[in-house]
Amino acid sequence: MQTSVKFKAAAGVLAVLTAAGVAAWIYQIMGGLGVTGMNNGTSWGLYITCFMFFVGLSAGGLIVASSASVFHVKEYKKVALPAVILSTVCICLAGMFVLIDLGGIQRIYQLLLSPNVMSPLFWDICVISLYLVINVIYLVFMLSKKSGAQDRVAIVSRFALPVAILVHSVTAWIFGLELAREGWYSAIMAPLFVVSAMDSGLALLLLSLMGLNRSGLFKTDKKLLSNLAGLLAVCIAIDGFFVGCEILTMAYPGAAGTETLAIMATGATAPFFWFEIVAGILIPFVILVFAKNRARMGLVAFASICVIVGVFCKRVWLLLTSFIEFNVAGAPGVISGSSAAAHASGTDVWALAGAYAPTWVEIVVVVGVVSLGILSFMVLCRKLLPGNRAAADAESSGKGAIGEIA
Amino acid sequence: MSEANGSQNVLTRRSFLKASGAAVGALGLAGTAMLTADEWLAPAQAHADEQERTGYTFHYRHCQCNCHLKCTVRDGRMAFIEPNDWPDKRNETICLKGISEIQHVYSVDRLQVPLKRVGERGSGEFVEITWDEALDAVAQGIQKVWSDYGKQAIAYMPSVDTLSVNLGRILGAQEKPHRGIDIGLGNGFSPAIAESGGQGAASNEMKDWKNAKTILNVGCNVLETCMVTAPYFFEALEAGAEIITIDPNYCTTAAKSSRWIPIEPGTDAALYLGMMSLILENEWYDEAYLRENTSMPFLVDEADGSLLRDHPAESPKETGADNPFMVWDAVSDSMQPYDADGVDPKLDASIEIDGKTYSTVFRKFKKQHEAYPIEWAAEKTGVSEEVLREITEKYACNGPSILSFGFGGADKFSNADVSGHAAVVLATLVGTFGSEDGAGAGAYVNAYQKVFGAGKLPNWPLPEECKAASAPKESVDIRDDKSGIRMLYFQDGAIQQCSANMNETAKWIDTLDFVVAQEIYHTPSVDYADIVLPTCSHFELDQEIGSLRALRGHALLQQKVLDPLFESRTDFWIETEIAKRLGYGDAIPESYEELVRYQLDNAKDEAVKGITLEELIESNGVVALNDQPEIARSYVGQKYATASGKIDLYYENLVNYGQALPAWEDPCEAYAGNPLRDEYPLQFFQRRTKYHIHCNMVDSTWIQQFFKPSVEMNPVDAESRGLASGDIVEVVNDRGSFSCECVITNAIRPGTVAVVEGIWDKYLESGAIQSVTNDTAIDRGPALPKGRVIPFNDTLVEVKKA
Amino acid sequence: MTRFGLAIDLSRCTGCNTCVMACKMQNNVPMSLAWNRVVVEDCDFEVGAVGTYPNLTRSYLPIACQHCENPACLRVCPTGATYKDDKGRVEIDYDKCIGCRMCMAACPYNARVFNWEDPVRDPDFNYGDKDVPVRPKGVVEKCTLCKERTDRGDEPMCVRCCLSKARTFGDLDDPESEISRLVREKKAGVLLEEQGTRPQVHYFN
Repeated sequence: MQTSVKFKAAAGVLAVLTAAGVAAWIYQIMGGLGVTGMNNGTSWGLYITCFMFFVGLSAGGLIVASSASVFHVKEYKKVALPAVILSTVCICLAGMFVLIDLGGIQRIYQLLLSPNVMSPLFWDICVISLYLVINVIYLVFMLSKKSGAQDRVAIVSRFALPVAILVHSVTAWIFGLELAREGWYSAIMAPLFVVSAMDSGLALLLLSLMGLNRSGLFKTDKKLLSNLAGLLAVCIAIDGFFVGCEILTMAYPGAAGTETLAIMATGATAPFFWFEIVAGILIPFVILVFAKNRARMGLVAFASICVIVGVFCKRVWLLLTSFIEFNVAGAPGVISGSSAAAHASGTDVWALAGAYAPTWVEIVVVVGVVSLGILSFMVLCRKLLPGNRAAADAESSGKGAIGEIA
Repeated sequence: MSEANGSQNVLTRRSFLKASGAAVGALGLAGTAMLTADEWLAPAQAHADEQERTGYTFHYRHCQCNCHLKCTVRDGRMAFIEPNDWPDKRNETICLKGISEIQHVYSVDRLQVPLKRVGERGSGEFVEITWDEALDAVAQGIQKVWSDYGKQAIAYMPSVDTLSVNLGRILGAQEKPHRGIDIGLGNGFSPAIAESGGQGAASNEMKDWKNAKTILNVGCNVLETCMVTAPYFFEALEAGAEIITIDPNYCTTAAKSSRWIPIEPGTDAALYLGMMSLILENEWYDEAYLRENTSMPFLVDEADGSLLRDHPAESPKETGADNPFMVWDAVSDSMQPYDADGVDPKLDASIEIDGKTYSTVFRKFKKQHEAYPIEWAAEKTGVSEEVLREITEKYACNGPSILSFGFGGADKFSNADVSGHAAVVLATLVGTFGSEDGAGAGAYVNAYQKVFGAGKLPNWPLPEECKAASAPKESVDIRDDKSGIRMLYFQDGAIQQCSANMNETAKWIDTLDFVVAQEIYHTPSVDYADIVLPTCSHFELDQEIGSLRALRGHALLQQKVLDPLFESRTDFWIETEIAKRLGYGDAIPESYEELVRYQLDNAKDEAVKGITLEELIESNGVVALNDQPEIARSYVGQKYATASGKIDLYYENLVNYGQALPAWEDPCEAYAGNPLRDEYPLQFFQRRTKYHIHCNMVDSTWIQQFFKPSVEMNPVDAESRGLASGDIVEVVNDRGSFSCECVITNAIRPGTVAVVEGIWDKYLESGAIQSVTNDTAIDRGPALPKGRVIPFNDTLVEVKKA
Repeated sequence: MTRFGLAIDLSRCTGCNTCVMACKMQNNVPMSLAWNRVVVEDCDFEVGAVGTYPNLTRSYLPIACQHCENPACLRVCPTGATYKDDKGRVEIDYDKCIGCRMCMAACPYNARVFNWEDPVRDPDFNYGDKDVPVRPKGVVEKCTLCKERTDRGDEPMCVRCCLSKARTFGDLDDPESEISRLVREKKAGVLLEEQGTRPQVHYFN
């Protein structure tokens, strides 16, 4: 029963972390968002970063799964089920981050009572809900043993693909439509989000499949993994291209964009920017562009991790850079209002520029949410993946098979 | 922190109402408006159903503004402050300081209970005592000093904002003896025109600026220090006046003026002297005005510098009517009394009679000015010749002109009286006084409410022996042996504000027999007191009616807003209790109301006559004084209360000091070639701000959100010392040092550093600002009308990383 | 229609912060929040100046909610908590605010502040106009153009208290009003015009 012990140990650890996250979240609800590092200058932080990040991660899975049906890519069909599970879990996490970030979650019903259809956040909430529903339907049909279920999968996939693209676009528009923020206001924001979603999502799918391989819950061909890694290389290239386009557009007029760029290149968010460029785009692309590297699972895994961390860094610099400089600059700046400032005295309540660092509360909450995600993925895979279902069936009907799987 | 030792701090801010509730009980007053600590701590709720009440009072007059305020009290707490309604709508003002009283009346630095010193003077170690103990101790201390040394051994240093009425006279003390502050320019400016306050108050009020074309504003940051005048400043600009602010630093007023001209600190007199040279050279002076209205045609004996009179004068104060001044009459070509019929005095003449040479004041003035050519002035002041020519021509030829100065700059240099004297001569040359609308000179911040729109209220009659003592003539400084001072009774941070060279001052205080502080807040000065009496802010009264002022053209009544907070008592209550203990219980009014009624009923001032307390209460505390002009001006009709009845520019009493006419004298420390600069190269300037009135409001947490104590210096000086904004720096010279954060800004003149005056020691990293300031007393101090000036800004320091 | 707005004479602003303090009191604004501020443009310190001694400039810019005709904050609010009222003011219905802070990201003026935690007041009670609602933690707040005062026919508190008389309040839709005259005659401009928000706070020199 080795696997089970390992599984239980892992699940136990994850459950504890999840519980810690929940506790931190309750603490945050009691104390208010002042327990985070956010403030009036930088009014969004780690939670919204994670929201963007997980919306993106959920894409890879669904795009692979649905393109398998839409474009009849046969090999991809094999991994469609874990891909959709992954996608479902990630979109749930993304949604949770939005809710966790709300200061007045007790008034959330106002979204239904008096929605403002002009708000990109409202669009996003709608699209994410729709996306989640499609994921679940997808999952239900995929798991259905009824006849015709596969046809239904094909039909759902035709909706799923555009909705997946839309969900990332709408998330992008939360930022991309804000004229007030130099670094966000850009038409390329939606394509950039989509392609970042694809590369990070694919990378996560690759890692998950490798993990499932190792756990024995689900077997994937190395060839298919290499194939997916090839697709990842293409996505990274497109991502790099879009980032390049954006930067050129910011830099070339020598106008306001240059200042924002300077913050990215040499200022507070520079480590994140350069990490993404080097470790998130250049290194994984250089690795994966060669077929022989794509065959080496260690390198593929390394490249995938680079891509995921790189995309996370991109979310960080994309979000935070535009909070740093105030459009109307000058002393005393903006009254920061943050928790630290509320207990600060004197002129320390003001900030000349936006500044942000997550507090332990935010980090614990994020760790908790991610733990919950991993736990859910593990449980769902165990329950839903075919190999495992067989094993589970076997287990319930007697003993034996499990040992072999291990 | 000194206050950590004060046991009064066991009372936290949150528990203060409990304490003050007890105090109210002790006084037998209705405590219904008070809350218990529990209620105080109750969470905030929507407050629509709470009880509201309105009270009216005035705020500080020290900033000259004296805003009258309408205050809303909700559940016993002052929740809203707004300008009261005035008959003259221009006076409906409030500034950030007034508004911040919402918090400041409850400041953690409020003195809550009477204290008795237990540690060294200055250590801030106190124990709580009861009011009876405190008052008995004060009375005994006073009586001991009275019997040991006499009443004049007490120095009473009330604040401008004190609401004490008779205390100084009951003590029989020297009042504000030789305090040497805000009198420097007036020493030189006021005698010429016999300006009533002697502090250089302007000849017209700032409302008249809009009628001027050229306004020279020299070293006066009026937009911060007397904020209610802002509309008049901008009205003038909008009417087309050119406001030229001359200031070493780019202060707020400089930034808002038509033009800013930087100047070397302490050289204002050189500026005026250079300008006068140009006026003489170009004959831009108003010759007829000088002949008719000034002492310029008076004859001076070249041998001894005395003014030639009809017969030898026994004192320079002998009036011209009794003993006329002599002039050279152009019609008869003979010497004549200046007031003789049909006399046409020569302005620029020198004659020889019986082997003696007599020159007109003007001739001497011209001759003296040969030493101050424009090139010289340019070098001294750092203002280019070209700019000097330009502003002089504007000032002299594009009138009406204003010459405005303040108390924050030249006033605090050893040569302040020379600057003041030069200013009054300069203004006279172009015919400023008593002439057309919009022409004027002097300290506008002072004139604003002190001279103009001020009604005189009679003193409460006290027994004969109750009168203030005058400071001994031979004393120049309260700290010298000749002052005879053995006891200090002060209010409102007087020690910190009025003392330079704090370490020396502290030594002097240590020699005193008894020191009493009567204060609202625990200012640094309090730490030097033996007994501390906590007094109320202007918002608190134990009676419905408080004190009366007649300022800004209105009678202004203080009425109750809040009951006394903590265990504080009103100034009136304290003085009553002391008077009782000194045997004058029956001699003083029973209440503020009795006093106010007396003041109104017995008013001799036409402006006040007829105003009743009932009318004041009916009008929420503000009633216009009678017959106030739209714009007030002095010297109308060329009337001067001087010895000659004209503008007496020649100061005969200063002949021996070489200052009968303004003669350049370097500042005593912060002059260009001082060898001390090798060690202490930076001139140290204490500037004022909109955030405080001297040491008042420094402890307001609302204001602290905008102001942080810092040493301001130019990038040039910072770079050479390796300093960056935010560094903790030490400001040091041989007298002492203090340290706080530094801020690097181009608004400060290279070679100088500035710090806001009045900052409490506890808000600095270490030390006290006044520990570095210059306390030198110049020789001619005793000869000046208000004594020597304390040259606070005439200070050299070095700044280094702490 | 009524379209309330402000016209601010920058040449008269001395950066004294009385408007900030008046607003704080009137609206019961807690410590570490402010509905308006006076910015010393392009300086890191209030006592700063632009340029090198003695060639210096300094300009003060009072800034708060601009009560835009085309408010970026209003568009993005998912629950319609931010709304444009019948008098042309941009207001917040605190009961609808879910604290998502979309509006803060959208406002180009950093005019909005958030109750990151239970308001900390010094002194610890609700001061100010008793008609002003008390805001809980988790909602956004900002200048209301003194809704409670202007509904009663009074001027906003910042206008009432401005010592320099730099501020004029009135109805921009009334061509006869003082504010309309000033905007017209002084050729008043708006802040960050390129943002397309069409502020109802006008600035002139």
